[in-house]
Amino acid sequence: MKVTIVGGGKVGYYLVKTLLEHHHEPTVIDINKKTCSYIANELDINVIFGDGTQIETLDSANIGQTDAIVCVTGKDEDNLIACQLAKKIFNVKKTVAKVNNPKNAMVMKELGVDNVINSTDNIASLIEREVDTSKIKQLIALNHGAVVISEIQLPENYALDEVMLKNIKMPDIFNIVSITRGEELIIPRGQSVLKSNDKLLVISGTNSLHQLNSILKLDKE
Amino acid sequence: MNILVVGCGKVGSRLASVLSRQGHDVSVVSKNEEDFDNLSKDFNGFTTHGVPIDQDILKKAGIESCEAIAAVTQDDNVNIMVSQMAREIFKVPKVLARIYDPRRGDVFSHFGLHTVCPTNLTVSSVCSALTQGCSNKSFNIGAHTVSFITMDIPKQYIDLPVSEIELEENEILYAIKRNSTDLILVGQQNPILQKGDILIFSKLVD
Repeated sequence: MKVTIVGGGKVGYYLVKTLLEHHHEPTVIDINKKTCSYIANELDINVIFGDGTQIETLDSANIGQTDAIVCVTGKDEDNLIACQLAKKIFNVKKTVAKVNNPKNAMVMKELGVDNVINSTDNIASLIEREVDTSKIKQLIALNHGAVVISEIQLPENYALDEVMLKNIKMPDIFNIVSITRGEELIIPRGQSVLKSNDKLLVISGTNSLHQLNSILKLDKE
Repeated sequence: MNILVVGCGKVGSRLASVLSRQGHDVSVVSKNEEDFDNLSKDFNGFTTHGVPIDQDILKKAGIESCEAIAAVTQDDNVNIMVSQMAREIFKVPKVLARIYDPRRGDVFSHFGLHTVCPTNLTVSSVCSALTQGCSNKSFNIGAHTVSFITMDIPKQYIDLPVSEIELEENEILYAIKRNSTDLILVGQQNPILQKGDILIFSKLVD
């Protein structure tokens, strides 16, 4: 696959190496001459020295021929503009942007970036997963990270023991997919209850994960 | 009007001061706190210090209730991003961005963003001042700038019809001034040019 990477910093550099190992054809665009020289010397790929948010630079990087543009500069606005120009002018099919400020993730998506990578959130949830003081374990991210499937282990002496699901106020994007009770797998309905030590498989919006602790009263034992 | 100015450099600060003096409710956002010193002493609007592409900062500065926003930071890309956020997310009725790079400005104005390109404006003014040395009047229609340029008839066009004149893109021949009293609007006609004629061009500069 031909991939154009805008931003040859730490992320860009290692991304290029990885793509090469997977037998893709990366090209790098960077605004800093030293960075460009470094990459050109270390890796055997095309390096374009220029501003990836300028049409001429994208043109000289032959971006019309690329399968995907991946923008990983340190500035969210530059990542957005480069993706938009690539799409609007050069009809690049796949646009990916790294977002440094998590608050901009939604904005980037709404303004047309196909895939938004929210590195801060990813690192934060990795940390949470490893430290795992919460009883929520994230399993799979869906829909470009907007939705996540998690496993929740209900404690002993659960605060909402014997409470019917229909009596618990759930967030908008949320559903309990299954309840594992001992050997039994239950597909819940409104009448189903939660019991201590249940293991829940839950699908929820990534944004509402933080609310789950309080909604499901997981902290109070 | 309730106006949000993003960027408080030379343009942003002057713009905010002028609008404030005109009686509008102005709010200024800048990522550099020192820039607020550029505002005039009689500026009586609000200032918000923070990164302009941060939704929370924009909300704090009042983007949800403003009627117009001018994105005039030093960075084209920030201006473009803020304008898009203003239009798509906050549904601000009037959105304007200053974009230095004419090509980028072109692209984004094709996608409905109102842009002002100082580069185009400067090039046009300097060009006509240097090459034609004739009068050049500009005026603004919305976010566009139209210039009227007068020029003595070049020798090669004397006795030729108007249709022979080579025009640049974005330019039309508006009228011919003849005998210092007659003004012939070109429009549908195709008059023959005479010695002494003065050509009046209309050009879409930005």
